[in-house]
Amino acid sequence: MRKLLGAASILLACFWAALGRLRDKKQSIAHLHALAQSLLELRSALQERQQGLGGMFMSLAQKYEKGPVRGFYGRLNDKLEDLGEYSFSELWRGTAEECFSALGEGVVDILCPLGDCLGGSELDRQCTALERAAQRIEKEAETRREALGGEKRLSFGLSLCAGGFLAIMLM
Amino acid sequence: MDPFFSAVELLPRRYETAFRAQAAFVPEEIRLRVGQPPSLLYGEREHFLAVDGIKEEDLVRVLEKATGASLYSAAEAMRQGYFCVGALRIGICGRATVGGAGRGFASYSSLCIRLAREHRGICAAAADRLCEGRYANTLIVAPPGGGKTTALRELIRTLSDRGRRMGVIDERGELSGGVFDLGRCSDVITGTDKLSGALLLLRSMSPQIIAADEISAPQDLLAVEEIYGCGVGLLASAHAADREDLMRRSAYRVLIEKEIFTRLLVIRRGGGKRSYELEAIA
Repeated sequence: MRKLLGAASILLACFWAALGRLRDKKQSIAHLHALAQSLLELRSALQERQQGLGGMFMSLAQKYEKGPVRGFYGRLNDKLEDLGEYSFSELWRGTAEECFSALGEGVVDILCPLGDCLGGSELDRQCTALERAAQRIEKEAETRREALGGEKRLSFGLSLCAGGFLAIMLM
Repeated sequence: MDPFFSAVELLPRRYETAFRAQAAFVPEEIRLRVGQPPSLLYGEREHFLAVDGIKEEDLVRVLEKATGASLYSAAEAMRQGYFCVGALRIGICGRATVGGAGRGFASYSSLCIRLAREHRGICAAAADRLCEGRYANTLIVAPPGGGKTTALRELIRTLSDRGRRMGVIDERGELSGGVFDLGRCSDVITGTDKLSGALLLLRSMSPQIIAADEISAPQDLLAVEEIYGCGVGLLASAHAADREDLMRRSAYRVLIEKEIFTRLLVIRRGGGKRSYELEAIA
């Protein structure tokens, strides 16, 4: 009985670990979608209201739930006080690296060039850059979602096998 | 806060000490030119600071700081050469984008930060005369940097506080700046061209006098003609040294020949001081 319970615990632990990994990956895909959405909202706000970036960052920070997207816009809004000492581009890049490194180098590489054009005098260029960045991030999210499907099956299969093997060994 | 310190906050940190040491001179302008040290305008000439030269990225950072990294929000004003941030008027020079300066700047070569200050009482004598009897349409003239906007602002405030309902067309927010007192009987419209502003004020605010700064473009002159004949007084400013200078330009000559303006407030500079002389044109 004890061995059976031990085996069941090991099996559960393996499942739990696999679930945890998959949950993290699913969450990162959700963050990517939120990031892409926020860039499109930024673009719309620029086109329609031509509001200052500070105000827009604050609105976006308040709109999104706790996570890297909210953290990014919140920190960026706070860092605008350092303009003059640092260029906007430097502030944008630094904050993107701080907040989105966990989502992968690819995401940071997509975001960083936006700092070079955002806040400039040419609105069209900024809107186009935001739209393109949003599309690339959505594409990245789709790629990860497809990979996640296969990984899900593999993870469950492997964890089942490993757990089963350990259970048999114990028994 | 004196506008000088507001301006210093926009500048690169490495210049802060040098600039603050100059505060006692009460500068009128700060000039930043690529490759040159920054300079301050006071005592009718520029004084260069003993610091390293300005780089283009310094100008970009000043503009970013002034607009909160939102140059596009001031793009329309920038295309016409300057924009206002509170009591600061920031003039821009550089390489215009394809399509001419009217489309903005591809790169920047110099900035001129003009520091607007209130000078109460400078136009009290002129205001006394304008308040005697019926108001006479007045044009304030001086060369660039001569103090027209300061005088206009003070005249608006004085006339307003003496009970005249003033309608103020503050196209770029320079007159009010969000900080200046334009008087208790003033209604201010900002962010619109002079013609639209004039029509709106006439329709909705029943002003006794409409005031506007720097009438120069053809649309501005249309606005003036629109206001004239509506039973509303006019108070405006224009670039010119004196009456003779004004008459050399056909647009202003027409305004004077039609007796749209019958008074000139001429600002003259001498010995580090300005004088304000109200003259009858007719």
